[in-house]
Amino acid sequence: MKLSLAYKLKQKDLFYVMIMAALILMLFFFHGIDNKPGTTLNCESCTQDIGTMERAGHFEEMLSNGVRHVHHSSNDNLIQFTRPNSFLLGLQKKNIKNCIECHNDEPGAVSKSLGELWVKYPRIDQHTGRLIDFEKAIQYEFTKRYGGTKPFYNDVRITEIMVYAYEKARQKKLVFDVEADDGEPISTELLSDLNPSSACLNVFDKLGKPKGDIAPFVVKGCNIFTDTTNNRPIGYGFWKTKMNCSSCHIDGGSKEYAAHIGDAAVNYPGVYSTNNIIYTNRMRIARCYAHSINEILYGANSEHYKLLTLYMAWIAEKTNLPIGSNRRSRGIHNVRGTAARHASIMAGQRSYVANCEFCHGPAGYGSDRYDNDTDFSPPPINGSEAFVHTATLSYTSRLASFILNNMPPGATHDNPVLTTQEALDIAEFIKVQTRPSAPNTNNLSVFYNYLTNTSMEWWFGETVDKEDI
Amino acid sequence: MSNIKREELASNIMPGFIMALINLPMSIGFAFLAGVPPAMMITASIVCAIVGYFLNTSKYAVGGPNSATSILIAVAVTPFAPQMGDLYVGYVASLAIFVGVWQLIFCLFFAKYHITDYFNTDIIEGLVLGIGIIFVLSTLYMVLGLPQLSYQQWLIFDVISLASSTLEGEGSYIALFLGTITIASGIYIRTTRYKRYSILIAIFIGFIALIILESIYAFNIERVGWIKLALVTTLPDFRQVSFPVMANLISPAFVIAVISTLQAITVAKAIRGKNEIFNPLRDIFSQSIQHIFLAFLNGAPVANSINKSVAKKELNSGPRALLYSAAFTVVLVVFLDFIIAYIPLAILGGVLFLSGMSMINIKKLKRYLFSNRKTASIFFTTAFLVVVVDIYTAVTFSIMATFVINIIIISKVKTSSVITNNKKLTINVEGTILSNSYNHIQRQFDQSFTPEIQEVVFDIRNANLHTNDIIDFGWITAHSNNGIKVSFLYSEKMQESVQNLFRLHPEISDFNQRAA
Repeated sequence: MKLSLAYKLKQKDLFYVMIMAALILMLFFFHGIDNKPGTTLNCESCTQDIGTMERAGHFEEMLSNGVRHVHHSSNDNLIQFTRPNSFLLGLQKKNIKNCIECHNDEPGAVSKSLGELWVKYPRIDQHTGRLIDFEKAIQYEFTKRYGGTKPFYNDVRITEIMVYAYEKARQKKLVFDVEADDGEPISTELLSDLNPSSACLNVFDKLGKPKGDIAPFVVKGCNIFTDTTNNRPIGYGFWKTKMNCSSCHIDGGSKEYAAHIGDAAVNYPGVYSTNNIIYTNRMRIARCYAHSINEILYGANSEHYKLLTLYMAWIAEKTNLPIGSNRRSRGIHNVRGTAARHASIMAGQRSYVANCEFCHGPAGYGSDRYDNDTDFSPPPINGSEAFVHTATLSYTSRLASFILNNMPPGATHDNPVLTTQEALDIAEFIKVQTRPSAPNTNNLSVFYNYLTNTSMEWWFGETVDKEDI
Repeated sequence: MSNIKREELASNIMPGFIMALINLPMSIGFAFLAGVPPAMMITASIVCAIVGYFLNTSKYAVGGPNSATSILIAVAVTPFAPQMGDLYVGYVASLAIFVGVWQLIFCLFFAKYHITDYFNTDIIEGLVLGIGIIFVLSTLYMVLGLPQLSYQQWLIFDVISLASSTLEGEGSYIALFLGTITIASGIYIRTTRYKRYSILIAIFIGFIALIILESIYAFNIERVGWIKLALVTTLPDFRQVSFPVMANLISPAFVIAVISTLQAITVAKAIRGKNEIFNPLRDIFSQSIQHIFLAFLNGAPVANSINKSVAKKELNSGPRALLYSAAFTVVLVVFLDFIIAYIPLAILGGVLFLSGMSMINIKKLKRYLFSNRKTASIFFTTAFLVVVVDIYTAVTFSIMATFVINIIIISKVKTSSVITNNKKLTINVEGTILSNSYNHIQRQFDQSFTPEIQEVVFDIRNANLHTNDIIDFGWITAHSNNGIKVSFLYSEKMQESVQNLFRLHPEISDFNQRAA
């Protein structure tokens, strides 16, 4: 007997499906649609509070949710955490207070408004003596005010409240205030105990020594920023990369036209254009770790992220940047319109040999001559320890602008050393070098990078003593 | 009448209640792993139970939130939206639609080509092992009291970050304690005869430990929180701005569809009632309909669960048990909400860890280790690729590898040659002749051929000829043109395939006539 179509549906199956589909259609018709993607809820007090929104897109969605959380803390989305659970105390139900009832700008307000609190974080937690950021503070506030339940540290609902606080601070043009104004500058002994890098000392010379109780944390943050690879949490020693935050954010992140980190600190949470997700400062740092400097992501709760966020906020405070300010020198620009001809890899190679090779090495792997000199670490521009293909500096025009404004050391936006044409050529030359791929594109490449790095270093590794430099 | 009621109670109502009890904490746990609000997974389990009641063939198949699919949802959608947010929920709904459509396509192909016959058990079990390892690693964050994994980098690195954070004192030792107690008690109970209630008892012991701890210390810990279960209608996110993300969800949806289809087949095959007809097509169809409905009812992608189906069979449940379990789920969520809200995630993580552990079956590992080289390599490579590279690569690789290895094994022909009177060379061929087998035959010919030979006979009477390719016969036509007689000996049955070979290769079609 020939076997064909051995498995068949039954006739009544289709009948059931039609009945069920009809029921769902009726449900939609009579009940209406509860969740429509992209719709925002009307809330009169919210509109009064935040005003007409200036920005559109996901930021607006998050902001409208954030306002809703603050004004109606018992809403469906937040009830998971805000409804008090007195399970052990005989099921007494407490009233749910909204955040805005205490945190507002009215004269007799019980507490500071969220916007004013936004600029005070990260700060030291009085109970634990550890650093606490705004995200963690909201988490604690939930448990303190409403009972046992607290949301996840990186829960989007916390991020939405952060977006609201940020927006309020932006509207008032507040400046970060993480450092006690009347505090004593950090003592020389304490500073030397913390072993600051010379880049950090330069920053402190330029902007003033950090003051008050927070000062040691700022120094730690600066150390992580300027020497990321040597200041990792426990257990990451096996990972090989030579990139530090300050490889691109020059002068400890305080140089304009070199992605000044004060500008970043006052502009996040914001939409990250590549994937349209709202990034907080911590998430943005993690993004930079994974997609720019080829560093492993630390746990979301890691103190290292908090220290970096604090350092960024401190730089913003010292530079006196109001929240949301958008300076001309922000980030890394595009070079456009001034080059006589197209960028040339060959010309770029010649310019590289003339201008860059001494520090970045003949093959661009960085130079062994500075391995023992942690104060000066020219990053590799080639090879598996260099920056990632998805980094902002992987785009020729952005990299050219960076080179023009900052390279060789000593160049500034007003007094560049190279010509635009040279910068474009060098950028094109650097662009075609081999560097790590974006994370998660192929995990085998992570393996491959690790194996080649380790074996190459074991075989060819050779360092010069500091005295011989 | 009372007899009927008693029977209904024993075979439908009680099993339904127990299934709801087992199902509820798992659904909530899977929701946290998938990054969706718990209500979504609970809705999914209810919808699956109702649709499954009407459409499933297998008496014991239970659909619902599932470990493998939950982790796949998180892996697929987390890069595009923050978990638990409205955007994420919209994307998950779209993912459910894609999965449903993929499964409908599978149904069509299944009906015609029985396509899923090619997913071998070693592939399925290798996938389950790999996903089990990922799953166990992903539940660790709850047990350690840390924020969830990033899924933005290689999983091993995320796990290292968990270890590092714990060493730095960023986790919660209370959570670790509660989680460990839950896991340990669960593992112990599995060795006793109350095995099937291990999850419930483990939660209970964890809860008692929590209450004792809370009476001594004051601490904060992440908990499940209040679940607002309601009938929610939702539209999948198919706005124009979301199209780029949607494009990225199609291939993860394919993998989820494959996984849940395989689960459906496995459940239908393995957990069958007596005299039950094996018809996985209906189960797959039922799942595709579940997925499409879930997209509009605020649910997340699901799969048939092996564990739950086994539980249903062990409980000897009747046909209506599914409906009762759906009803009891609603009742439990509504009336026991204060207890559910109070359960710490650490205990839930412990329970999920247990469920993941059952996916890593030591007996199965041993069985594959001592099976044979082909099966063992496919099984372990699939599991390894799932963990080290990704699930899509693992599925593609293992299916391709199975095909290739099978073809290599099948197309190995046995050849032997006999020379009579120094003039006639007879080459005997046995086995299945595929296009690549000709090289083997050629080697045999080259080795046995001597200048004195005037006649060559290829005896393929004991072989199966399967050639639909164009093959280079230059090695034999050259000799034929030099005056050597070449002929084929074949049986009557092979007439058709030999004619086909001659039609494709005119240069050898007249060999037999020339020889005659």
